[in-house]
This record gives sequence, structure tokens and C-alpha cells, in this order.
Amino acid sequence: MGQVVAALVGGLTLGAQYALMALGFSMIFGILRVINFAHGAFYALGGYVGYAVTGQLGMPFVVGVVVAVAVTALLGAVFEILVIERRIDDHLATIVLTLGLGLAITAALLIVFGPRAVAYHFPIEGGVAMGGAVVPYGRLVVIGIAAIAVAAVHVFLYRTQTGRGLRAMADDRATAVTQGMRPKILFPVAFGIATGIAGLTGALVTPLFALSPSIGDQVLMVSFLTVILGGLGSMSGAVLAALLIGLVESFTGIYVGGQVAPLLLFCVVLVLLVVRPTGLAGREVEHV
Amino acid sequence: MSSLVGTARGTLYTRLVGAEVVALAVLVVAFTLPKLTASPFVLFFTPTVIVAVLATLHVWLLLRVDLLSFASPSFMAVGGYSAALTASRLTDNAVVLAVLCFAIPALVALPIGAMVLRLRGTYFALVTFVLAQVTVLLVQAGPAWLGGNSGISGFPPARLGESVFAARGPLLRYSVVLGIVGVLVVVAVTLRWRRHFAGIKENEPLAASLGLRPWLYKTLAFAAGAGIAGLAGLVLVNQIGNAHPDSFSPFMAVNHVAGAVVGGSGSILGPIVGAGILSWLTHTFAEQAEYAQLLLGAVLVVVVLVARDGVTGLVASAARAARGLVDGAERARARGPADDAGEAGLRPERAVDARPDEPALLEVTAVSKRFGGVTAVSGVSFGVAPGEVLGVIGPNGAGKTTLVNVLAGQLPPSGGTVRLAGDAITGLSPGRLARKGISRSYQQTSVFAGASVRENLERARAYGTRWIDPADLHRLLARMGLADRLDDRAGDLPYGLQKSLGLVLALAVEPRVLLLDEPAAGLERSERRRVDEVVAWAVDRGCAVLLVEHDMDLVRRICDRVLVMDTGEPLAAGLPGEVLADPRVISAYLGEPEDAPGDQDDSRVPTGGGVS
Repeated sequence: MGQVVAALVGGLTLGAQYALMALGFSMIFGILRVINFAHGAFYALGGYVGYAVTGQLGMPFVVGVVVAVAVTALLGAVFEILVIERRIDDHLATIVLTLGLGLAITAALLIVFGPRAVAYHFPIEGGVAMGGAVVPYGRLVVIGIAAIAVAAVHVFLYRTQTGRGLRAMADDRATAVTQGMRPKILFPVAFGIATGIAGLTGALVTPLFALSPSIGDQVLMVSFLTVILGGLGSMSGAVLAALLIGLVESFTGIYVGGQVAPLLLFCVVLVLLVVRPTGLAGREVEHV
Repeated sequence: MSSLVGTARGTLYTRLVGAEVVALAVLVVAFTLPKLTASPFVLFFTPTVIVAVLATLHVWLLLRVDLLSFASPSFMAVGGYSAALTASRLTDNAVVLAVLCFAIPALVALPIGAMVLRLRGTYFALVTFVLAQVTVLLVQAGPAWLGGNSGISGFPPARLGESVFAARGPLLRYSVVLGIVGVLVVVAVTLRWRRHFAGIKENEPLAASLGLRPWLYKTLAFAAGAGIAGLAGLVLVNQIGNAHPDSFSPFMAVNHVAGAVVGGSGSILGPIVGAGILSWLTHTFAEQAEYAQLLLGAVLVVVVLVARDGVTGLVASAARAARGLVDGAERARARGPADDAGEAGLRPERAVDARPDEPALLEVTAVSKRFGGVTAVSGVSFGVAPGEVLGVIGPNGAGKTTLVNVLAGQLPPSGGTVRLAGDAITGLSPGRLARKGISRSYQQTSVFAGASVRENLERARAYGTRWIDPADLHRLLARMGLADRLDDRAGDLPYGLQKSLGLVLALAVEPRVLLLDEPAAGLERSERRRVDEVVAWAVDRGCAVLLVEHDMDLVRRICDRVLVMDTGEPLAAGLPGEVLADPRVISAYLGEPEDAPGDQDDSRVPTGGGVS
């Protein structure tokens, strides 16, 4: 029983992390039609900014998280305005651009912080006993914040004017633009929000797992998996798929063990591609 | 027509020779260098560069068909492990190793390609990235003979007779030969199918409607690319003496993509130059890899923003600028003598008129098309006989273009059957339909915009099995005003001529059934005469013509029968004069009588009156 609870909470924590990452990733694809290969790097950057503010400057953890969000969101928005914007309609070019940004961010982290993992700790120690297992508070906080963030993005996209504009851009860019939507403002906003979420995830989650410059690679890979499973561009699909992947990873990690778990997951995704190329919740992806 | 082929051969020849010169130069360097210097740097560094070049060629080749592949480490792993397993269990013969390390990845690529090549653009890039990860996981979790996390080592190096390609000069020579073989294979594939690749990259729907089977050539590029990456795996494994999962990390693909981008996708030299630059960068900053990575990131961004076609693109455009004056003069001279074939006009009318009594060539029965809950076409049936022109009219949104797309194979029908000369052809792909003789034109202009008019025609000829008589083609080009524009870039032609070119392409594949989707839309009155000529040309050759059109004068003039569609359903059918006078047809166009029109354009409205 204790093992089940531990696996469940572990899976939900992983799922929460993957959901936040995939949410931003999907948002960028859905609205800008850009695959953000730098998404993992923004995650690592968020972690390091949090670490620098908390561990090196001695500020409170919350401040570190807020600064991490601000830095990653700003960097994302600026990169969109200065670089992506100029090649927005060439999908292969934007892949290479974000690849370049990802390489540069990771390299900068290596230069500033060195290649080794740093000690970045969650401020709340201890845990609560649940069904025979001790669940660390940190995991519960992460799950809670992730749920709030997902809800906030949902409210933003479905209840605000700007959000409606963004969804209109995702549905039919040409029509939305003729209706007065302004891509010059909306695109950087969307990109910034998405990279900000990646930064938030990094600052929040890396204290629970580990923080090193290349940590973003693995997270990026899982984001790919998640959005393929959930359907490229579908944000609800991405969140659902993320929880599924987190739980599968956690349970198979405990009950099957080792390298079989990720392999199983990847193969399931590849098989799914054959059966249903649009993913679990995907609509027909416009071939850009 | 002979001139048509001549020029194409000329550029092909130049490009082929360019590649051969490079290969020869590399070969000479490879065989002299180890004798000139036994510098450990050259001995070690050259195979590393060759691995990078071959892996980058994989990316480059797939960019030819507009696919960004991150699967290079995947197929490198297949090649590398094939090498290790073959050498340790079967044979260490260098030639056998090279053949197997190309063939096995290429074969493995076939089923994978069948799965992932349906995806395009961004989706394909994502999936190949995941594929590379799966490969590593498979090796790690796989059976014992794959070596798991510790890899395979202790196998003999490749050998041929007395020579053992283990270290120093011999290893270098083997690597260089493999590199050259790889480059030559890619050059051969790219040149042989350059038109097919270019058509897929530039305008896949058009290429398919001219008879190209895109999946075939994408699979071909994918398999060849996999083989090339396999050779990279062989060079790598033979050099370091072991096959290890860490050597094939999916993130290596980033370097290969970077090499292809930095070098440029326009020229075969691109991946070679790009991989060379990247290897040099890695080597120079070997002590501070993070600075190399920072630089690489910045370079990628700058290249994409400033020099789309990479380093080789920059060089080429500089060379073009230098040659510009000379070329311009030559071109002006070449254009000088006017083509007198143009004056000859169309062939005199054969005594073939509409043959509505003959059995229908194209037979459409109860065809429907639904998009989710929306029914775009519902229960449409008709037949078109050879030499007959069937007009299809109806207000916007009536489902006319959807009907054409279904008949041309671009959309699978939701129901009903289509027969061509009695054979069921329902739901066949555009490529197969084009080969059976169903050809179409597009409502919007659809040409290979980046290629010359001549090259557009050459491509159309390369894609299918049917082709027009050269003398006829010349006449047709002259009548459509294209005879003296053969060397112009199709995308630079004015709108009317681009549409004309689309019509010429559709006619040049000698169709039995010609589907024309609003050929006159957007043309000025004088240009609309070309539509009459195209239809007359097709009728003259016993072709069944389906004409979707809004220009009622045109419909009256050239259609034998008219089918009226409204909201996806057939509304009326019959002789043009009768149908256009039908009150139901008029109200479908103009709305109900009470909101009768004031200022509609006469030519677009069936008034039942006389022909203007």
C-alpha cells in the first residue's frame, strides 16, 4: 500500500512537471506553429536562476521562483520579437533557430555554473504520512502549484480577451489577423508565457530532482513524447498525456524497473503514431 | 524540344563534374597525405570529420524532400552495431562490412519510413528525434548480444587481403574511401531524382497530380539517407574499436542538422563544408566545449536569419553576382530569334465533335464527401464521354472544388464510385490517377514557382508515364503565350501566364480526362480565350473535360452539358441554354426573387438571355 501511494505521488509529481512543460510547448506550437527546441533549456535556465537567487544571493525560495519566471518569460518574448518573428512562416527555419537558442542557453549555463550538478534544495523539509508512506511536502506543493498554473492558463486562454485572440490565432491565423488580431503583440506574449512556464517548472521542480546544465535535454525529450501522445497543438491532450506518462514512468519504475519503462513508453507512442497520427486528443494537424 | 533537354543536361553536367572534382581531390589528398605526414592529428581527425560529413549528408538528403530528420544517430547506431556484430561473428572483410552497413540501415528504414513518412514538417522532425531515443533505449534494454550499457568491443578491425584498416594510414584510407562512396551515392541519388525531389519540396500536390508518387521518392531518400548514416556508423565504430550506446546519443543529431544548415542545403558541398566547419570548431575548442557550443548556437541563429542557404549559398550568390553580366548578355542573344512554330496555330480541327452518345469515359456514381459533420458533396452522379465538355456550375460553397479534389484523388470520397473507361478508380492516389490519364488544373495558380518554365515541363514529363508529342507541345506553348518565356522563373510570370502554365502542364501529360477548376478565374477577358483553346485542344484529342467555372459566357460557349450544384447536391443538369434558364438555378445564384439583385456582374449570372 505504501509503495502504491509513493508511486502515485511520485507519478503525479512527474506528471505535473511534464504537464507544465508540455503545456507551454503545445501552446507555442498551437499558436505560432513553432517547435521550441529550446524548451528544455528554458527549464534548466529557470532552475539555475532560482538556484542563483536562493542559494547564492540568499533570497527566499519564492523570490527565486518569481525571478526565474520573469527572466525566462522575458528572454522568450525578446527572442520571439527579435529572431523568430523574422522567420515565423518557415517551420524548418524556426526549428533551427530554437535549436540554436537552446544550445546557447545550455552553453551559457555551463560557462557560468560549471558542468556539475549544484545543490539546490526545496525550502520545506519533511512530509506527511499517507497510507503507510511518507509523502514529502515538496511534492505536494509542486502538484498543487502545477494544478493552479494549468488552471490559470486555461482561464487566461478561455476567459480573457487576449486569450481569445491567441486561440483565434491558433485556429486560423490569416482570418484572425484580418479581424484585427495583432501577431506582433500576441506572438511574443504567447512565447513568453510558455517559456515562463518552463522557467517556473525548472525553478520549482529541480530542487526535488537534480539540477545540472544538461538536465533540459531529458525534459525536452519527454515533452516531445507528451505532445506526440497528446496530439500536437492540443493543450488539454498534452496535460492528459503528461499525467499518464508520469504515472506510467513512476509505476513501471517501481514494479518493472530499470530501462524497460521508458522503452515501453516510447514504443507505445510510436505504435500510437501508426494507429492514430493525431494523438489522443489531437485534431488533424495542419501541415505547415 | 531538343533545346528543352539540352540546357537541362548542361546544368546537370556542370553539377556532376563539380562533385567529381571534389571527390577526386579528396581521394588524392587521402592517398598522399598519410605518406606526406604521419601527423597523429590528421590521422585521428580525418575519420572524425568523415563521420560528421556522412551523418550531415543524411540530414541534407532528407532536406531535399523537405523533411528535417533527427534520425541520423539512429541509423548510425544500426550501421555501427551491424559493423561490430558482423566483424565479431561473420567476417572482417572491409567490402562486406561497407555493403552491409549501408544495406542493413537502408532496409531497417523501409518499415520505419512507411510509418513516419506520412508525417510532414514539424511532426516528422519531432518523431525522428524520438526515434533516435528509442534506438538507444532498445540497445540498452535489448538482448545480451547487443551488449547493453557496456556496448560491444574486442572485434577485429576491417581488413581487405593483407591490409588491416586498424590504425594510422590504412584506417585513414578506409575512412576516406567510405566517405567518398557515401558522397557519390548521395550525388547519384540526388541527381537521378532531382526533379522528383524538387517537385516534392516545392509543390507536392501539383507534382502528385502530374503523376508523381511522393511516398515512393520520400522512402527512397529516407532509405538512402539511412544507408549513408549507417556508413558513418561503420567509420566511427571501426575507428574507436567499439560500439557503445553513448556514441549514438540522439542529441548528436543536433550537430548534424547544424552542419547541414551552416553548410547550406542548396549544394552537395554544403554538408561537406558544414561538417568540416563544425568539426574544426569542436577541435579548436576541445578544451572549452561550452564556448564552442555557445558559438554554434549563435552561428545557427545568424545563418538562418542572414544567410538562408548557408556558407555555400553565400559563395554561390557571390559567384552569380560576378557572372551576372555575362549571363544576361547571353540570355538576350538566345532569346533573339522568335519561335515561328507559334504562328502555325493549333492543329486544324479534326472532324471530332462532342460524342455524347458514346459510353462515358469518366463515370461518377453517387459520389459524396463529408468533412466531419459537414457534407460538402452529396450524391453527385454524371458521366463524361470522350470529347465531351461537362460544365459544373454553382454558387460559391456548392462543393465544386471538393468534387474536383475527389475526382483527382486529392480527397478520398466518403461514398460512391468513380470509373474510368469501366475500371473502378475510386479513392486512388493522385499519382496513380494521373498515370491512368486523369489530369487537373488548380483554381489558384499552381506551378513550380522556383523553377523555369522549361524545368516545369521537364518535371511534369519526369513524373508520369504519359507525355505529349514534342511538336504539339511547342504549338501549345506558343498559343498560350509561353513559347518565348521558357527560361523565365515560373514564379516571376504574371498571374495569367502562371495559370496558362498550369493548363499546359495539365495538357502535356496527355490526359484522357481533364478536370479544370475555374481556369478563367482572375483572368482578364482577352486571356480567357486561352481557356477556349485549351478545351478545344483537349476535345480535339478525344479527352473528356470537366469544367468548373463561374464565367457563364464561357460555359455557354464551350460546354456540351451543364451540371448545377448547390450546397453539395446536384440541382439541375442538361443543355446549357435550358439549365441556365431554369428558375431554380437562377435563384440558387441570386437568392430568392424578393431580394433580387441590382448590380451583379452580368457575365457571372445566368440570366437565360443571349450570349454577349
